[in-house]
Amino acid sequence: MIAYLVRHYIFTISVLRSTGKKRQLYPADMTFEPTVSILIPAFNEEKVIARLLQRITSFSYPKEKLQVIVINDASSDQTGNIAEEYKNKYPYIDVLNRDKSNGRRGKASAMNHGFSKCSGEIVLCFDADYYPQKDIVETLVKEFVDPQVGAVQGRVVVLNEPQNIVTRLVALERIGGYRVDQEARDNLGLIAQFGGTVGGFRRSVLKNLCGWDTSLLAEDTDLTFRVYLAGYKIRYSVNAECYEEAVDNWRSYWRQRYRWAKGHMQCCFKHSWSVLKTKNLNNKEKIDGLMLLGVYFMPILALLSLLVGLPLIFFGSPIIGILLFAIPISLYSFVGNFAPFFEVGVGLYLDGRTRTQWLIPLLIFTFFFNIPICLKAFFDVLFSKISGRNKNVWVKTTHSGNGNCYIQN
Amino acid sequence: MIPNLATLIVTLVSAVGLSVSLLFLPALIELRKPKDAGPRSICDSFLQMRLRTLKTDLFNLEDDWKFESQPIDKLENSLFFIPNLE
Repeated sequence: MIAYLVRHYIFTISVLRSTGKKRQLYPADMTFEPTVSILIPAFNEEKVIARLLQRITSFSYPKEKLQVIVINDASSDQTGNIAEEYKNKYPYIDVLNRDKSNGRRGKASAMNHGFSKCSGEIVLCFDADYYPQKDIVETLVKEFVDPQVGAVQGRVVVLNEPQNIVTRLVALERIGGYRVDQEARDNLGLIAQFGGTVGGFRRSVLKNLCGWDTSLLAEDTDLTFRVYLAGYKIRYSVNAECYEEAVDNWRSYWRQRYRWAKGHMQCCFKHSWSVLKTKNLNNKEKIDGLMLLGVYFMPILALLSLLVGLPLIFFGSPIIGILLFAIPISLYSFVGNFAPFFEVGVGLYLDGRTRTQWLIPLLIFTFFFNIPICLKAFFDVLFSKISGRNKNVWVKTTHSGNGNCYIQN
Repeated sequence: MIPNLATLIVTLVSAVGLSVSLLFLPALIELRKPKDAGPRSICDSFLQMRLRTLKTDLFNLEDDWKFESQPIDKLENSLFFIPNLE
């Protein structure tokens, strides 16, 4: 746990030190414009799909090098019809309709179906509720100049942040994660994570990896590690920004985080040993990789440290107890567990949003809320490992389209 | 000396209440009357983004400078009794 605390501080300092430094990928006069396929999995996204497709039509990337595939995953609403309208108007947009016999088997299954129809050298993925900046394709794609780069990830920004307290707190978490955590990983040459959307792959790499693994709930984390284990790197581009519509109530928050936690734990069991013994990762990457795989176990350990630390503060033995146990453990309980909050604070500072830092103490509620989520995920993964029954139910996050009113341009 | 139970409870409740208020009061103020509710506006081009980063850096620099200059201002004010020789 102390390693995680140290890691948070190292990440924060690294980003503070590197801010303002521009990364030169290739000479300014060189153009790098490979063909690009964009995959958009969509299941009942009628409220948001048009927003994304309309935005794609205004992308600055040459349209003759663009292929957009909407994977209509047996939607029961108007998603398919809306996508078809765009297909009829724009030749580079295509719709892949899945019916109930082959659809609704989770995002990974839909992505694999879409991938089989891809023709671009680079494959990018966007969720239907996302709204990217106009030059996102070129910003993401230029990372592939380096042949070692197998995948790229862009920055996610919460669109419906003003909606309520849940969206505001999710926005803070995203700032900590994308403005500091991911960027630090990229700066320090560690394991930058592919987040499943606002990112993409070199098609040849994805083909060699046989696409998305449908047996896991966190197919993005799984792909991250498969890319690294295959000897490629993932780059994070903080300048490639994309809006997302964040969950706006605690029930949806629970479902989404439970899916992430369980999926991450599944990946931990699947990849930890391979990460340890691979020759494609250096020691620094191995340590970071293992810490990344174990990150959802931390709320459980934090609960244990709080359970041990708090009684020691109030009832600790006055001499040996205080010196040997109470001080370090209680100090960790109060400072160490909340180390990610420093990342959020610095992320807000770098974004020039110092007033929003006033909300940071409220993150304590999401911190405690994550403890039962991860506990449940842990016991479910453990039970499925013991019983041999791996039952994954993909609970889709519903998007209400509430973010539409915040789009200014 | 053991304080009586009522004093102890009142002290504890006030202490906890005060700490919690101090911790969460700014957050509650920002929630009730948000000065920056978001969302962060995304830029349409890389150039716009560079310009905004530069602006944010300058803003933060100015903020830091204000913060650092506060003790100097205080010191300057506290030395008002020294006659101006100019």
